[in-house]
Amino acid sequence: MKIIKPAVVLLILVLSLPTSAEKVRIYNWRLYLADQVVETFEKESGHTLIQMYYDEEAVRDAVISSGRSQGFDLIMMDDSTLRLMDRLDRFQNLESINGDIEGIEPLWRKACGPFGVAYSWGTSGLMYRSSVAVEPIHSWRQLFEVPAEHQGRLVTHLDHQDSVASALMAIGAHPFAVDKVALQQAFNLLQKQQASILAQTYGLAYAQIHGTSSKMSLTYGFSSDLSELIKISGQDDWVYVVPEEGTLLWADCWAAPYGKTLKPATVAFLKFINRPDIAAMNAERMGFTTVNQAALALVNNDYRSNKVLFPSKAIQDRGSYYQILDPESEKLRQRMITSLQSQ
Amino acid sequence: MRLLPRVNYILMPVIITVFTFMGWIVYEQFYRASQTYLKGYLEQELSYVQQQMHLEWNSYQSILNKISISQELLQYTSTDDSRYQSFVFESRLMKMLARVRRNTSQIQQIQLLGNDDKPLISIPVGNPFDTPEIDFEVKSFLQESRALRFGETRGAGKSIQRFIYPSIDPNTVRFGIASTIVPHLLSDDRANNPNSEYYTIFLVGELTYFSQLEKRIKNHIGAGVTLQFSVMPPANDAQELSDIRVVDGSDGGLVGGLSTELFAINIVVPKTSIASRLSAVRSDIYLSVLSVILISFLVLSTLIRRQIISPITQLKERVKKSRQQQESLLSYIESDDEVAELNNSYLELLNNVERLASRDVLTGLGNRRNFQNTLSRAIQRNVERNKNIALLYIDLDNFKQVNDHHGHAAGDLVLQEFGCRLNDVVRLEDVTGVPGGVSLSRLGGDEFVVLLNDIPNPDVALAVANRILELFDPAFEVAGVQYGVCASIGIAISPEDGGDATTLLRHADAALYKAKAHGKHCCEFFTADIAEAIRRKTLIANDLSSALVNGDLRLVFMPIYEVETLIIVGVEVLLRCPTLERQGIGPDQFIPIAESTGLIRKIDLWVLDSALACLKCLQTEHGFSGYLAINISGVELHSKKFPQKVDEYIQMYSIDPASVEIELTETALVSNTDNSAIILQQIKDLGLGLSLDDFGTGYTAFNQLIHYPVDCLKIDRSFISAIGTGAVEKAAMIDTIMALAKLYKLQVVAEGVETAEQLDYLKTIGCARAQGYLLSKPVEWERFLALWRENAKNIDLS
Repeated sequence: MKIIKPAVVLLILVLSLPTSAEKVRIYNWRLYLADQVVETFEKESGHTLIQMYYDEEAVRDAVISSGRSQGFDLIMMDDSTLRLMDRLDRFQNLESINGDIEGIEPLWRKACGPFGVAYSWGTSGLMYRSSVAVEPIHSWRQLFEVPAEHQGRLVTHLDHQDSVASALMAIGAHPFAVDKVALQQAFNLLQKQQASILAQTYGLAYAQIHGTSSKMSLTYGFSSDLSELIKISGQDDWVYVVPEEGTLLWADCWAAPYGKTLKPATVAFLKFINRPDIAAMNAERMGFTTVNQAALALVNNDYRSNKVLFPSKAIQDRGSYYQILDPESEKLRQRMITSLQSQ
Repeated sequence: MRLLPRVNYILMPVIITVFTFMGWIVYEQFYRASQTYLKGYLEQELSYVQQQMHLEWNSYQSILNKISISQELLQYTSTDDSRYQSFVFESRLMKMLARVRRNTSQIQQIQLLGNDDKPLISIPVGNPFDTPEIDFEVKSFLQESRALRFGETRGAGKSIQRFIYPSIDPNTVRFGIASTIVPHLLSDDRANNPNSEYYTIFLVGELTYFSQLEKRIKNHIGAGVTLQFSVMPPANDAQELSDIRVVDGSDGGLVGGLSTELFAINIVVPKTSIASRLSAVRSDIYLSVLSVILISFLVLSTLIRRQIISPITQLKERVKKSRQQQESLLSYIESDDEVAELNNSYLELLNNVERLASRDVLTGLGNRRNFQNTLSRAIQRNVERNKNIALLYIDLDNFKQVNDHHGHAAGDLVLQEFGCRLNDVVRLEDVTGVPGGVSLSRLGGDEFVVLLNDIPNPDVALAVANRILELFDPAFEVAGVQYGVCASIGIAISPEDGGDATTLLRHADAALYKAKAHGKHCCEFFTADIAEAIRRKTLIANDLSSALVNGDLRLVFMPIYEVETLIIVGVEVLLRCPTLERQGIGPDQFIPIAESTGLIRKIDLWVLDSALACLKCLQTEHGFSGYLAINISGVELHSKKFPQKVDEYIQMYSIDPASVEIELTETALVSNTDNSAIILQQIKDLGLGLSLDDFGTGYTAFNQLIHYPVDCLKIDRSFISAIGTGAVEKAAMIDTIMALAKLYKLQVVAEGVETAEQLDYLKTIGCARAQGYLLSKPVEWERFLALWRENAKNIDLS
């Protein structure tokens, strides 16, 4: 009797205590998660969010395949890679969480599959400074046959999917064509591009590093990049354009690396991020297209009418989804990029 | 061959040989040193290359190891999902391999071969559209024994293989290093599972060591060096052999190399390369050797020539000249060396020979041969100098008896002794008056001959002969034994008795015969006249001497007239000796005799004294206004005391010197002109006048006349007597003398005027004064006084 009373008190205390503070480690793109969201989450939940960044998907993928992904609780994956990695049991099944979250567009939920929680979607295109440009950029060709005013001011990364796809689109081929002749032409364009480059890196990352002193005037990027780019560069004349030949449609998903049991904090975060008000705030702040329909109802007009974030149907029709090709084709694309990298 | 060339022929080869040999040795040393140095250098270089390669292989090995165990490779090789493999892993692997290649400068290619040697990845990508192909070198390697890959032949197996490949370009060497891995197994395990799937990684690159080494070595040593790189065939026993060896080559160069199990580097350094490094040394050595050869040859040659050959040559020359000239040019050399010894020995030899040849053995006097030479030479000289030679031919009387009675030994002794005494007697200078002009010879048997050179007169010979004869007075004693020998001497005088040696000797012999005929122990002249002349001379000299002592000399006076006015302007005093006069001997005969005996000095002084006394009397008692002329012998010109004596007499009689004139014959001035001039000047300085008597008969040159402070020239009678006879030259002489006198502003007195024609002629030519029989003979004192008185009257009258 005497033991029970203190035990009950202890139990109540324990139960009334908020759940112990956990750390959620996230591996993400830069400038993809609003600070305010992080602060709010941390305040509300008592958990700590630790973000680490990658600038290239290849790097992220290397981390994942090296097993280092075990150090993370959540990794921002693109839908195609996630689907590929499905097979290798790299990630945990998040269907249960998906079931708890409402409001995600079914299209995108399907894209991310059972191993991901959809986060955003968008297009790929070119960003340029209108004050520098003599004429508006309109074609993928101009990424390779760089206009004179952008010579030496082009920043672009070499990626075996993005770079090859944009080169293929530049010659009017399908971005995931396997035709060797087309690929040869694409390779030639990529070679030509080398002469005009200021830096061989992801444009947004370059701006992050150089800030207001960035000389970049033309870059490859995604629709979600524009607002952040303007913010960090201080150059408000940046323009995002989807070239006329086509675009690549992508979706980003949260994924939890296999091997760890999902922490309550992680689950809490995922749910938190999908709370309509939070999702709306996040999307507005960071300038990306949210997949959360419920959030869409809460966004402001500027956001809703943003043509970049919400491309027209015509543009969407021009778009292609990311694909994983057959091994030989992939190898070829790898070789192309490796060849260019060593030049 | 002559000495000097012989020396050269000896020196040159020896010097050349020695120094060339030395030079060669020096060069060899340099060469050897150079070789040793190069050997060390090559060893060092090869060792360096070896080390570098070792380090590099190690690093490649570690790279291969790293790649083999890298996660990228493991994941790539262990994934089943080919899409994932190609999408994710391949790029990662490729990136890693590309990074490795970038970071390792020598690796040019990396290839990953899969099972059955299928090429999977090739870095660099090159053309991405080409399928990866096996590298040519890799292919060659694969064709090699497979077994080595798993080391089946050995226990542990070698997982990493190395190979070196010579490329097509001979300047490059390709290498490769390969590792076979079985991804699922540990390296140790492989040997157990030879059939499992495996991958092979190749690193292929270019070895620059070889070309760098080549460049370095060629830079250092020279372009003649050849380096050869050769690949070793894969050995079954892959020991870690690595061998550096540098040895002397067969041609004197160097051969070396580094050999490992993979490759070998061979270096050949030809002798020419080493030699060319030494080219500067070589030329230095050549120059040095050459100059040393030259210098030492010159020095040695000069020294030998000067110190050894020259003395010898000089000696030879002197000996040769001595032979040619028959007199010795050699003289004693005081040195200690062989040449001096030779010289001195030769000299002694010559002297000995000479002595032997020219000396009479017994007496040490000259022998016949020597005598002949001496006589010939003496006669030759006599001709040149116009002097007399006397030859005294001496024969010992009764000598044969000495030999018969006392034996030949005694006879020899006598001869010897006579030789000595003869020598003593004859060589006394005061006897002969001429030092050294004597030679004694023994002609043979008991015949001796004495040669007197340069005798002034035959009296000398007589005196010598007499002295010799005295040796035998009363007898000739030798070593206590008195021998009844005596001498007969025949005297011949040259040139009177013969102008050549043979004649002279013959005549001397004749004189000897004459002496013997006269009863021996006497001497005879060859020419009776000479003897007679001597006798006469002696008589006269004696008489004259007595006359002087006895006061038997007298003066006579010959007035000198002025030609125009026939006034007596002066008087010449002449000497007379009544005693001799009675014998018909006048002053022209006895004055020369007095001069030869030296009596003339006393006579001159007597004359001076008397004449001045007369003059004094004439002046003081008879008012003589003219001058007095006194004849003086030329001998006085050699007497330093004479002017002093004159002065004494002048002072004694208190005579005005201007009224006294000294007369000297022109001929007397010829000899010893310098002293004569001084004494004449002294006489002149006393204030006396000076006139040259018998002018025109001597050999006075015009410039000599200037020397003498002469006041008057007295034309010799021979010229005066020539007037009117048609002897044109003699007459012309008078004109010449007149002109001369005019030139030198001298008085002229004509002597021996005997005819009026002569006097007239003298008048016409302007000769101021004259004397002669026409005008007045030399007269006695009383007669002269009378003449003077008459003349004085005439002066008063005119």
